Amino acid sequence: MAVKISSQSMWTWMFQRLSGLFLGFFLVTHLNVHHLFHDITSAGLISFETVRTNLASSGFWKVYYFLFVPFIVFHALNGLWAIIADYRMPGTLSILIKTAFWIFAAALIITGFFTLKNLF
Amino acid sequence: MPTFKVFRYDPDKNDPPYFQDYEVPDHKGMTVLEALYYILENLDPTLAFRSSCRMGVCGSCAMHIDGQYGLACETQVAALGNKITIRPLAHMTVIRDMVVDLDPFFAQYEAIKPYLIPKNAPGPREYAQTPRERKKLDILVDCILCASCYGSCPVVGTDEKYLGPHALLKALRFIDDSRDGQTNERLAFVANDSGIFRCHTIFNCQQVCPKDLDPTGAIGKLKMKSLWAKLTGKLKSSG
Ligand code: FES
Repeated sequence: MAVKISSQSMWTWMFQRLSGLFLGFFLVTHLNVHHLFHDITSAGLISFETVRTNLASSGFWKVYYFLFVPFIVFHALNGLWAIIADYRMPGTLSILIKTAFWIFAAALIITGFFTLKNLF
Repeated sequence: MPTFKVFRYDPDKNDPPYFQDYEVPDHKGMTVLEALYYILENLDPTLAFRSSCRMGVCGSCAMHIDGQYGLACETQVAALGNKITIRPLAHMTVIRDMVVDLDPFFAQYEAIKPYLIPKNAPGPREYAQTPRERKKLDILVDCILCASCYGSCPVVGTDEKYLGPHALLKALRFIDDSRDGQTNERLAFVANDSGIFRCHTIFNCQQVCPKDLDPTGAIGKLKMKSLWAKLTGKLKSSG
């Protein structure tokens, strides 16, 4: 019979690592596509239009960048929460901070999505 | 002649803690514990510290020696500078001078049930274990519960509910024991919100362990084991 476990920490710990891996991969690909292999001599300096053209080249980038926003928001805020959680707080304060984090995360994700929508 | 700058605190006096300097004549091979005994016997009989075996076995002489946690009986004075600062272990209430209240430390240790809970009721013979199964425990059984890791862990310092590196290392010792029958219960316990996932992998515990054990690595293994147990349905969320 399965043993009961009451822990959210396991999932947040796992997603922190998964999102970290994704972000590492994202960073390398992003640099490659927009910076390292961007031919400045023929195409000129990188501009909003160049990025837009690059990204519009395939549906893959759309998915990729729309994933990037929630992943980085989760990774950053969960990391911050892990530090704050070291200082055991009274339950109400902890709920208040968590709620503020959720609202902040939602605002960041919505802003990110709107920005991306304009880009694609 | 090195000067020992020693932390002093006596709760019976109303003075706040302070440091007191003692000059101790050193000799080849002198340990910090010997120096403390010299102070106690020749300079100041009021100095309080714990010790027993004087040979790195009992774990009672752990303290903060010149910026590093460790055993006083295993630290050579010659390896330190001319001014040696001695403080008690951190994160525990100081009872007097170098003597700290170890109750929370042992309470967390007891919480992980540091004894074998076999799968079946004892039979007429001992529980057999192959040399290979026993070898797995080699790097886990040597802990002498000196609390150096506990004092050095910043998570212990901020979160009093955190189980601590000592208890988590011992938990793996029983989880990895082929004779133990409570693997999933133990994994569920250490994966609670005050357990393994509170560890930030800072490596202090590994760095200070006088027995060269690796509590950080043990916690890492426990994380993977509990995650695997969860993914394979051996642990289930209780909401
Ligand atoms: S006195 Fe026993 S470990 Fe130092």
